[in-house]
Amino acid sequence: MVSPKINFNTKHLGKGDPLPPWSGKLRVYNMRLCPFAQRTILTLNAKQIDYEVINIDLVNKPEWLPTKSIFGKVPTIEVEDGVCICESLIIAEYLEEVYPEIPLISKDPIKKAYEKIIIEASEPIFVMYFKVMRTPDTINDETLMSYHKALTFFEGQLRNRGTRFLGGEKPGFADYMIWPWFERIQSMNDEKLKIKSAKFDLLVAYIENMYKDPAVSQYLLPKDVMDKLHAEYKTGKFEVQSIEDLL
Amino acid sequence: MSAIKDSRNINFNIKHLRKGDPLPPFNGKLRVYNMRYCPYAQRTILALNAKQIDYEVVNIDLIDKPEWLTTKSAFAKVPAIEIAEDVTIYESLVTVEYLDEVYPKRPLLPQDPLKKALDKIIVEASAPIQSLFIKILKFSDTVNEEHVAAYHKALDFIQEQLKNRGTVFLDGSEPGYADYMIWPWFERLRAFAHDERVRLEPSKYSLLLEYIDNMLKDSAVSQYLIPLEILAKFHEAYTKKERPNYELLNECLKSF
Repeated sequence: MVSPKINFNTKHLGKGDPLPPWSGKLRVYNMRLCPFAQRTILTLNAKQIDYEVINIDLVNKPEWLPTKSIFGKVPTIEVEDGVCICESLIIAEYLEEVYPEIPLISKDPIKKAYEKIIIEASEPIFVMYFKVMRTPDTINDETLMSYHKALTFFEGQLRNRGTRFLGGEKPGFADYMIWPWFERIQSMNDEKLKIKSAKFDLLVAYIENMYKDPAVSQYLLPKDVMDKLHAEYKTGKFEVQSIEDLL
Repeated sequence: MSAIKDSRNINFNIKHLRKGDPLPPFNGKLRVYNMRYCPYAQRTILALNAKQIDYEVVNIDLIDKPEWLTTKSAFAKVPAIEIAEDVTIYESLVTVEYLDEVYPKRPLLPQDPLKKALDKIIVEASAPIQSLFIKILKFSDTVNEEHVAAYHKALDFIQEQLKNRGTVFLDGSEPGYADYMIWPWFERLRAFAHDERVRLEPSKYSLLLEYIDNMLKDSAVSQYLIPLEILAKFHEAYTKKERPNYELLNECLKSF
């Protein structure tokens, strides 16, 4: 099955930009750099659902955004004209139910529960990423310990399952929900964050395999864009006038 | 309101086990690793009560955790449910969603995928209520206008949902997932009615206050309610930076 070709790199709409008229196609309100919105993109890609992307300038939000997203954030999906669902994990679970053809979540209630537990367990990973990027001074022994504990938990889950991905031989729900953090960690050259094969050999191999997954590879951010984003935060003040300045 | 005849006889008010206390042997009954005053663990208890599932409680001393806790709950937190010997599930919402799937009687989540998603969104929207509660309890000086504004925004959102749905509870004529998952914080905020930052102004929140009154009468909620004076006493320990007394209720009940 050939995946429909989606344009991810449209202009990020900001204040004054009109809301594009509803076209009947499932719509994702996205931001090209947002890891949470990436979860939705990965889900849609993996399930080969056709959709259109409306990129949102989060630095300079369009006036109509709250009508599409209760909390004014991305991701949010519009499933019918004016009918929207927000929150990345809720969106993924909704899509799983409504588009059952390519399942990402286990049908077994216990396995399903563990997929959700692993996602919860990954919180220290993104906490660490955000701290390294924005507030490195707040990183202490506890932060580092939580981060390593989360990586260890993840490695343990891979070991227990004995499969290439958490979802089995192909990535599933947990793999896609956590991937955005691994992609960003890999792009930063930070000693505290680095996932080393000495301790995490399964995780290192896993990350290499995830890069090759088609749902992931079609949406990878170019390195220079990631570097620009990280450099901007390192200055201590995020001064871009628009997301477009980073792309 | 809910007039379910409940034949289970669950003992919630048992000693909180700590380091050195042995693990009670598993006897085949679904078990909840709990802490009597934990709002997250209360979500699991409410779901079990509402669905009239039979279970036993093992209370955990969270300050001086028993050595075996991590074998039941990988992150050493409550709640955790043991569904078969050594088969456990943890994270409060994960336990509730699991129970709703496996015990089909009295479904808590709506069947319709969109309605289900909206229920979960309401629970997410309650996050500022949870975070204000913990801040007021433990770090009262750090509470600022932003925290209080976010809290009120969350209350407005929930009240608006009630108004739009036009039902007694968020999930209809009986409480459901959204109602039970946010309830533990509404229960605790009652103990802070004197605090202006938290108090629900009747002129602004009449619908929400009525809703809270209705929830108090629900049998899944009422059988697990902690008397306000005990709750206030329990919270006091945090403000005084003392060790919380998990046995307050047990001590109180013993004196009768």
